[in-house]
Amino acid sequence: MRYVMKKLFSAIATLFLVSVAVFFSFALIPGDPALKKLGTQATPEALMRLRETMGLNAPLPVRYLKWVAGVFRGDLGTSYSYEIPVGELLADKLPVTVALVLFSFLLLIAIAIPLGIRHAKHEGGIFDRSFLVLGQIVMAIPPFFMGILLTWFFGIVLRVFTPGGYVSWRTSLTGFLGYLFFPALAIAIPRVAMTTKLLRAEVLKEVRRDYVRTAFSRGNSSMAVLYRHVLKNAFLPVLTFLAMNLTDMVAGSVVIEQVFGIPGFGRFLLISILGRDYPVVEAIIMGLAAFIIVINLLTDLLYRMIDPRIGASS
Amino acid sequence: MSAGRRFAIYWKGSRMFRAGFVIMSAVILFVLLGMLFTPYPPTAMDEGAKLSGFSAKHLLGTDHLGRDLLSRLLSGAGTTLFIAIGTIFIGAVTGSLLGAFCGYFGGTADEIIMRIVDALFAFPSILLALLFVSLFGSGRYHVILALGIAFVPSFARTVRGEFLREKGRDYVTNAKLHGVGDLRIMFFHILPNTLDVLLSAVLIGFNNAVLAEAGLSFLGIGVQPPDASLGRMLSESQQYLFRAPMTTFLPGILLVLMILGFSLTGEGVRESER
Repeated sequence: MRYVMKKLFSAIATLFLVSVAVFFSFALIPGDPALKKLGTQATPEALMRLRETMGLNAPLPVRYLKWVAGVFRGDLGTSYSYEIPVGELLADKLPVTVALVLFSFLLLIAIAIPLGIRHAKHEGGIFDRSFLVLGQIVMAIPPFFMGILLTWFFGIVLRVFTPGGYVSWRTSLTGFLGYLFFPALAIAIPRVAMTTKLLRAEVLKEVRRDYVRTAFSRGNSSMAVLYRHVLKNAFLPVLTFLAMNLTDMVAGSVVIEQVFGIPGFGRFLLISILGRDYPVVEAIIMGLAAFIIVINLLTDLLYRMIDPRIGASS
Repeated sequence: MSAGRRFAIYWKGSRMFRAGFVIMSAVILFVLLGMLFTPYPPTAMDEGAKLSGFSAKHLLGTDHLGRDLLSRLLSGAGTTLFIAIGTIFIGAVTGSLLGAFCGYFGGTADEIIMRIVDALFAFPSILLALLFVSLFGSGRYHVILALGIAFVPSFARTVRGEFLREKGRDYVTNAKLHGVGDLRIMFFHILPNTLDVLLSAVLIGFNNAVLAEAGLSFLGIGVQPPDASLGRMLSESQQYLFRAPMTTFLPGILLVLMILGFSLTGEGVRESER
């Protein structure tokens, strides 16, 4: 329990630090949002009034507290470019990105884990060796290039899907998931190679341990040893790696959404950065940061559940 | 240990290093060639030959504005590599200094700095870079700065770990007893012993920096037109994928080779350490 509290506290502290850093850095960059809104022809009085209504005249710490209080009430501020609440703007983009990342995470697990185990079982064989080489090459392919290759092969050569023909989940759920399949695959493939390689290495490391020999000597079948003993130990590092991947995949979705023209979080973040729509950028960055911190917290806790020795001494 | 002997050890010890080194050298030669010579100026447009295929006039064809693809590849690869070098320079120097001081001296400052570094480390570097670019603005020098900062945490962690391990060794105690100063111990005694680890960290960092630069330029917030960079070329050519897939494939393949070269060399160094 103490371990959980400690981790929880450190996660909250990190979130606080991140929010302070993000808020202050955006508040301190040159450029007056009020001036931008009214244009350079605006009278000083009008500017003053707008700054007052936008709450820009208050001292920074007060503005920070107001912002945080707003976030807790579900008020993320108002977009400069669209003049509607940021929360509303993000509401229909969030499910898209969440679906994309989850979809590709499921693909990653579904492909990488069986592949890694198979890999380790056939160590040194032709399958194993050719996959090692292929894996190295696949890992070097940037996700967006992978996306372009998939678009070209499945969209243009085989015509399995229409590039750029995004279907909203409101129109058709199957169409939506169908369109997300290749983007999700593009995010997953390089990570499949990394995860497979790691799982293979971990399984091979575990197999050489004494307890495996003991288990065999007791007459266990190799299947039983593999699934009941070896995998349990080999999964630990893989689990952390997968969790780290999840955060990277969120970042990767920013680029992939651009490649496939998917109107999610990432694409919107990009548009907002280019349009200097800071309330939106702040909200998205904070959202992503919170997500990453939560994932890391859950990984730590899950890790501890699998291996109670962790953190017990400290 | 001399650089030559170190190289010989890696070369003999690891097939990955050999493959990676050959690819890396080829890519660097290509970039050096591009600095000396391009068949056409990389931004010169040939109105009559848009998206032309391979020809005697334009060896690798042209892009959608009729710019010579080979020339753009030569100069774009250079831009990408230049940004990666700048990024790693900032990241490695700052990160190593931070890590060295934290690992060597420890204490409260170490505790605080490492907390911040850990928090930063949790965030994917492309996301950090996006944040910094939105603060500083885009363009190649801003990208170098943004990526450089984003790469500090990984170097700080690696070097700190090494220093923490080395500072307890006998040779450090011995040097201290002889009255050698802390800075001298750090940079003349300990640092040379961490070179292997640092080298593989730099090479792997390179591969990540190339990837991150290409990602940012692909998103349109890195290198600005009309300058060429591999990521930029990929994003510009993507909409012509149907008509001229080669304009996309060639920068993509070059990018893959660049990343592959650095990552294999880095992993080879790591492999032959063991």
